[in-house]
Amino acid sequence: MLSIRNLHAEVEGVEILKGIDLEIKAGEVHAIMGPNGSGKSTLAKVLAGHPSYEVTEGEIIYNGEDLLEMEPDERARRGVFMAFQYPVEIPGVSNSMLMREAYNEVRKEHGLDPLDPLEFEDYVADKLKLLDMDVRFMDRNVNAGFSGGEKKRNEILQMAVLNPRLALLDETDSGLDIDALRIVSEGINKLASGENAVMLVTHYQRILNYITPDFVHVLVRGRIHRSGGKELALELEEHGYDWITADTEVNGEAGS
Amino acid sequence: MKQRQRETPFLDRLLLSAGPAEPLHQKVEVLRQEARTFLTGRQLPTARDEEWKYCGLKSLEREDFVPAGQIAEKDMPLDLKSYIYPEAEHHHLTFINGVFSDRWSQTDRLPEGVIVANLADVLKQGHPEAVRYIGQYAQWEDDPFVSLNTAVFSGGAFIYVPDGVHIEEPVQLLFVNCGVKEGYFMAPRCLVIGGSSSSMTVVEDHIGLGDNTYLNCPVSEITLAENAHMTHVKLQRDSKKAFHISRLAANISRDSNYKSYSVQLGSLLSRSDVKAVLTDENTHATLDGLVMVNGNQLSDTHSVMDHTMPNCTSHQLHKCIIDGEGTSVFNGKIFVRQDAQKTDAFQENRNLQLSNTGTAYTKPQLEIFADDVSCSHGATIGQLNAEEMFYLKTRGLGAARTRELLTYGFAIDVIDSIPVRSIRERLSKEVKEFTSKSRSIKQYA
Ligand SMILES: Nc1ncnc2c1ncn2[C@@H]1O[C@H](COP(=O)(O)OP(=O)(O)OP(=O)(O)O)[C@@H](O)[C@H]1O
Ligand SMILES: [Mg+2]
Repeated sequence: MLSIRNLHAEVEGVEILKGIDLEIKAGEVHAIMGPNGSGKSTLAKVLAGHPSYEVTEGEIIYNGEDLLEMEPDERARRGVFMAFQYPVEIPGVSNSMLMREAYNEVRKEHGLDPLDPLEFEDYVADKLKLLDMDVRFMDRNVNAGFSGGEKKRNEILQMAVLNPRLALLDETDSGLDIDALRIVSEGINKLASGENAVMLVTHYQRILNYITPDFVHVLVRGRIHRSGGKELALELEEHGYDWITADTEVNGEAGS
Repeated sequence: MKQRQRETPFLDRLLLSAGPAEPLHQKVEVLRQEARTFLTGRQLPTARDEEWKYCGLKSLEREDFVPAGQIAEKDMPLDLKSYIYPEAEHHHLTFINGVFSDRWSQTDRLPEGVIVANLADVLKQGHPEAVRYIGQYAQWEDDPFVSLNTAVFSGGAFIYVPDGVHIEEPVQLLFVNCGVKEGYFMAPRCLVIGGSSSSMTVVEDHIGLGDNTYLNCPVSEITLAENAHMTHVKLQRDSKKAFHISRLAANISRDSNYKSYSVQLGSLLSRSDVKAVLTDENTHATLDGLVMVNGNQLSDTHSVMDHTMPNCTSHQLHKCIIDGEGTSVFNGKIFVRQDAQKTDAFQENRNLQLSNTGTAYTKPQLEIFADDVSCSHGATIGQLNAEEMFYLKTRGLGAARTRELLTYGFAIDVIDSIPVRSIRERLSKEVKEFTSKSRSIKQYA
């Protein structure tokens, strides 16, 4: 579904991603871990098409097409979804309005008729239930005045509404209380099945107890220093990142 | 003949063409005489005047206008019903091309003692309150436009709400302008008197149906007695070739609350000077505004919030959306006089520039003479927020739609605080129309 090859990206002239290679196939869950500032959000934003990040080298192929050629909204309509680490508040635009328009864009992409507000209300009711959210959230402006955890839950609600093929979840677990983490994780699990793939950025093993990753990648200073199975996350939890960087400094970084 | 006219200053030409106004009351005659004397030989302000720095009147000066009362189509057989807000069905006054229209006005179902009438009639009858307050508050130093209005006004609205009376439904003042060829000027005068512990909502609507040139020069005076509450919405959507120069003075007494929401959408040039004087303790004033300009429109708001006594609060959120080659000007003065301890004053002017050819000028001016006050003010000029745009795009919304939604979102908080539903709906429509017509919104990637 997604092939990232030798991806280099910079922001304001500073190179952040320094050669990322990553293959994500349908049905897989990939966890991206790594220290603060290592480039995890940058990777997600580059995939979503954030205009501040310039790709200087490498390619991203999504379902056989050059993702970098597409505008962010086109990527979204083709099934790429990003749940933000810090979701912004959108004044004056209600949650229901945004989600209905967003969903109708996806429907249009699939040649389906748009849903009117009432039909959409029905459609969204199940999704709200899935995430144990009050319907009143729909009338509020997008993320406006939402608590940190509510914002994260609202991101996954949007994911549930849009049913993306490739979900990029940037620290969705941070800020969620214990119950919310379980509910949101269950929601993600339901959506991640079958054709869909998930790239999940996280600092904690906790969420991986609910969402079992097929692969865990460790991103350090713009490179994937190590990839492994779910047990890698447990090792990281125990030993931190130092041993990984120390390891590669000897074997890899020294000459470059 | 034409040549000689041109040499005569603009204001003199207007006075000349207006001729002597119909006598209304002795006091008014005195005010008019003063105004005429003041205006005679006086030039329009120029960019050299600090208060008119960004608001050139050259294009106005070139025009020749006849008085609104003299043009032929006064009472056009239009269907004006659709311009009346449903909430104001039973009390509205209509002025067509500046002239009071009995036919399109209705003032039934008003509570006992309330007067909603043509000001000219009320003055002629010598209504003591009207006579007492006319000309008392609309005072701007060196300003020709109040004087112009005083010298020539032949009608306008008079609203009087006695002590303790509440009008639930809004009173609408509709100033509708038909697309006549001849350039004309109108100077409606409004006087609103709120008795103690009274409440009312007044909606002032200025509409241009055509794209003709005219000068609309309204002056409003408002006085609120103790514990009076008034919500005042003004919606200016005059013709895109019109000049709209207005003056509004509000005198607010102890415990009373005046909330003004002013929306400027129309006119080639609009200038509104607003003055709220908080004359006693525990008073609140709101002067919120929304301005939208495109093409080569210019809209200039000069406001004065005058805190004279302790324990008063004021709120001023003024938002401008600038598109095309448009210009917005905001000059917001807040005075906190020496006695006005514990004043809490808020002022914010936010300018959203959609095009890179538009211009915004903003000048908050705080003059504080008391020491125990809380005043916050801020002014920003900026484009749509890039992170918000990115967020919406990642939800599959196209670039144009994204800008449209965020522009709407920028305007909406001013609109949302207006307490009349159909006005909010009307304004939402106006904003959507503005954004849907915006070339900047459509074009940029
Ligand atoms: N707009 C920007 N301007 C300058 N530097 C930036 C910008 N955006 C990101 N960076 C830098 O890029 C680096 C990677 O940031 P990124 O947000 O991708 O880290 P992260 O791995 O997601 O970290 P965290 O775990 O703290 O979320 C950081 O050093 C950050 O300061
Ligand atoms: Mg991050």
